[in-house]
Amino acid sequence: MILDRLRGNGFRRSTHGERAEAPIADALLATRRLGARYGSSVVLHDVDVHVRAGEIVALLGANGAGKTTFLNSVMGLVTLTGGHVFYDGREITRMQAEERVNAGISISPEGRHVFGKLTVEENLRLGAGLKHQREFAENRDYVYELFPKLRQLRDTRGAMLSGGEQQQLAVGRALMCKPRVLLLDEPSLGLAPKIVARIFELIAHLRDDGVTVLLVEQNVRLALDIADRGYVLDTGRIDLEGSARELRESASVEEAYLGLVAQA
Amino acid sequence: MRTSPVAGRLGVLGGLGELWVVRALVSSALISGVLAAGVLIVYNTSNVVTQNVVMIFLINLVVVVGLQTFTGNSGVVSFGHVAFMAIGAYAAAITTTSPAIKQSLIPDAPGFLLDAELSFIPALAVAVAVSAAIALPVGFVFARLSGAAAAIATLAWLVIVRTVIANWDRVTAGTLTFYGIPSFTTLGWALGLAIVAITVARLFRESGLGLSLRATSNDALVARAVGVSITSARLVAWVLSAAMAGLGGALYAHFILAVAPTAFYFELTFVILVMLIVGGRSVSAAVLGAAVISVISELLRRTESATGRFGTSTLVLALIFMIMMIVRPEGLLGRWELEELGVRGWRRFRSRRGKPRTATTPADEAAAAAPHETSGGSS
Amino acid sequence: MIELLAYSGTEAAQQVVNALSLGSVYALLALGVATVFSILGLINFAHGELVTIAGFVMLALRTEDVPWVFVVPAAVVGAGLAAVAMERVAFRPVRGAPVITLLLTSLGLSLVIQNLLLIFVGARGKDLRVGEWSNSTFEISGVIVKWFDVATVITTFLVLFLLTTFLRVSVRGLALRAAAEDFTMTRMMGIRADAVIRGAFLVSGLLAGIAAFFFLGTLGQVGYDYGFTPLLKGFIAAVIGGLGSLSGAVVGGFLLAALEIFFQVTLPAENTPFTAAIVFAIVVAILLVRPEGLLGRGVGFERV
Repeated sequence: MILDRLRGNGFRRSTHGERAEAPIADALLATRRLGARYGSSVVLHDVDVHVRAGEIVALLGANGAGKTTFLNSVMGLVTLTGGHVFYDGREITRMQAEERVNAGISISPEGRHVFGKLTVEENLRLGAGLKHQREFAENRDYVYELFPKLRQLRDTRGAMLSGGEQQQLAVGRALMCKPRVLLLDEPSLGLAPKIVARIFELIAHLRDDGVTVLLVEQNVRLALDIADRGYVLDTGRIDLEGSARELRESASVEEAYLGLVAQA
Repeated sequence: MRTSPVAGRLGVLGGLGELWVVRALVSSALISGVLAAGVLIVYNTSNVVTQNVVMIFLINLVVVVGLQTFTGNSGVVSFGHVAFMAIGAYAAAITTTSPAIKQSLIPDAPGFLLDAELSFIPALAVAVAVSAAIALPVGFVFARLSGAAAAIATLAWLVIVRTVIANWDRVTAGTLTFYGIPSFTTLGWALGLAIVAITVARLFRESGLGLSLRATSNDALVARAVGVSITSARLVAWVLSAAMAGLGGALYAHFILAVAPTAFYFELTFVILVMLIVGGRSVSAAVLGAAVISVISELLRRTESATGRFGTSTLVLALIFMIMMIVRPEGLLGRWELEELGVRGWRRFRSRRGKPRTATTPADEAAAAAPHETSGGSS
Repeated sequence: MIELLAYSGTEAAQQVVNALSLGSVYALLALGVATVFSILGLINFAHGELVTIAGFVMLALRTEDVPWVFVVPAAVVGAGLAAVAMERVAFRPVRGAPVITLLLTSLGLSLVIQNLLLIFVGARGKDLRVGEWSNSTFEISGVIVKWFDVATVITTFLVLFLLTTFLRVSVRGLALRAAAEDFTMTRMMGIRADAVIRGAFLVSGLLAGIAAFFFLGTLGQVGYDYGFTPLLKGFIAAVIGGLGSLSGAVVGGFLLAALEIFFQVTLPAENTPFTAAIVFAIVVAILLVRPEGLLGRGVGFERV
């Protein structure tokens, strides 16, 4: 019933028949009928997502819907049960995770996962991998411009940073390899509203710098504020897809549907 | 350790009341029947050399089944199992050997040991009792450990026991061979005690404790959630397995008629471990593994003597072991008992013939789904 | 205890010197074990065989009268290559398997190598004389010091310095440290898992090779099963210091040496063989009470 009302608002409900051929041609990153499992339980079914260059796309959904699994599948860390991943015109479904990073996809994972025993500077250095060491100084300065706080903390070990600082570090580290696509997993989780606002400012700023962003977020309002388009994932399937405005306009219904409370 | 009575848990987890006892006994009978048939046929149709091999096989079998009771059910690999075999062997040997021989071997031993000259059954009881008694406090210490920590700790135990035996000259004759042990182990005894061991192991596996161990062997979190005390279940398994190892040790001592610390150290530990792991985790698997490895070992030993290249047998055994780890780390039989395989085969046969499937419980379905899991490796 | 009181300052100093030299070897061995453990969670039972392999390389080259100056680096590199080969052949196929499978694989590997050596080289230990210069000594206020021991300690500290610098300064070193902490995230930096693991094995092999020179050189012999003792010492020291912690491994090495010498000196002669048992009991105690090692920096193990 809810879905009918949503449909009435003018955006598509994803179904096989209706779906246009995924526009692989102008999508920088796309998945087609992606399925994934953890052990013996299947977590993703038939997921079609595409992200065009320069876009910010939001992936929304309740806890456990499979958002993180989706990002991990794009990175190549999860066993697939079927489907394809495309990047920059090529199929990368079989590509090793490390190669995908070197090809230009970078991730700031849920929970940040900074290297606690390494300093901020060392974390960033690692972010540059083995391939981007030459431009290290340049990229690092760019990151410090985005996150001045990190420059102050450059010799502090990761474990000593606050949640917000770690999140900045995680994003900064992900940027060190000059990615074309940045996957952000729950950047607002557990952070104070002021810091969250700052981070989302930066995400918008990144788009201006030419970075394409796929953003997984539980904070629907914030995500749709900066995104161009969005998808809603529900128990492993894409349930809704549309422009940010379309999704936003049914925000109150969506919040009820997703069981989320709007954040200030 | 949790103080909740295990007995209460037994009722819940013991399955369908007393049915598990019946099931365990039937299964043991099945395994024992196959074993006895095989052993008797081979024994009565071969020369002395092969008969000796059969005897050693049976003795090892008791020890391997003991290891299965602990490692097969809990998933914790113990390198210290053979230490209890040593304890049982020496305990039995010291109490059965004639005082005359002991006078020359261990003249300084305490009087009651020097004078002791037990017959077989009391000696077996002594072996089991001493092993179990030592296993209890040691088990308190080890029951909490898992994985690599348990491996190191049990390895340490093996070394500690060996060091003690090798240096406690007064009682064990130290590194000298303790000889003159009376020959009590006959085919009847070896086969009989092997069947006893199989039955005990099988009963334990089906019991509430065994079930809870198996269910939680891979997942400590699940265990805590269900409210099972892994530590006490493991302790029981540990003591039982030590008792069986001690029994095996006694059998060994009264067959080889001489013992020395080197007999119960790394080489034997590896052999016993390979037997269990190649076989799998169940009691049937232990029996199968012991049989397979015994046959292979004997063939290799004959090749070794023929070619004179010593080390070949262990080399090949180790290679087989490594290959098993890659290809089939869960072992030949995995965690299935003989009769469970039979039942599964029967069900699949029936469903393929299009008959309506009999109602299966979720547990059965999980069991049926098991072979489709890929073994080894996860991403 | 009375014996302890009777010890004069010189004798104590002598024992300290012994402990330093012994501790250096143990530290190198422990480091080798800890390096692989910190990345893979694997206690490599075949680490001792790396020492043996290095020993046989030395033996083979010395039989051809190659001067020691070339023999030692060759043996060290040889051990490093052997370690990398081990990883490729034995451990790669079981990567991702539960830790106990890895452990058992390494046990099988250890026996395979030992028995290969047994078959092709024979059972008896072969002499490996380091040369007269190694036995020469000098004296400082009553304490007799072997030049060889001095070389051991100096080399060890040099190696530690180089290793620390490598880990701290170079990107690959950083990658090793990061991988020990969070292997998956390290891959997410675009750093290939294979390369990291290979690197860890290479380092552990090189360390084993260096330790082999001093260990076997002191022994004066090498045989197919001479890897067992170095393995035990290495992983006991590593556990004491905290498995997974490199600095812990070093501290553990010196501590173990100190413990052994202490018992040797204080226990009445007939009880000294029990030293091994006592040390093992201490190891078990540590595993139970403080699995992250005495320094509390190790990774420790899961407990029920």
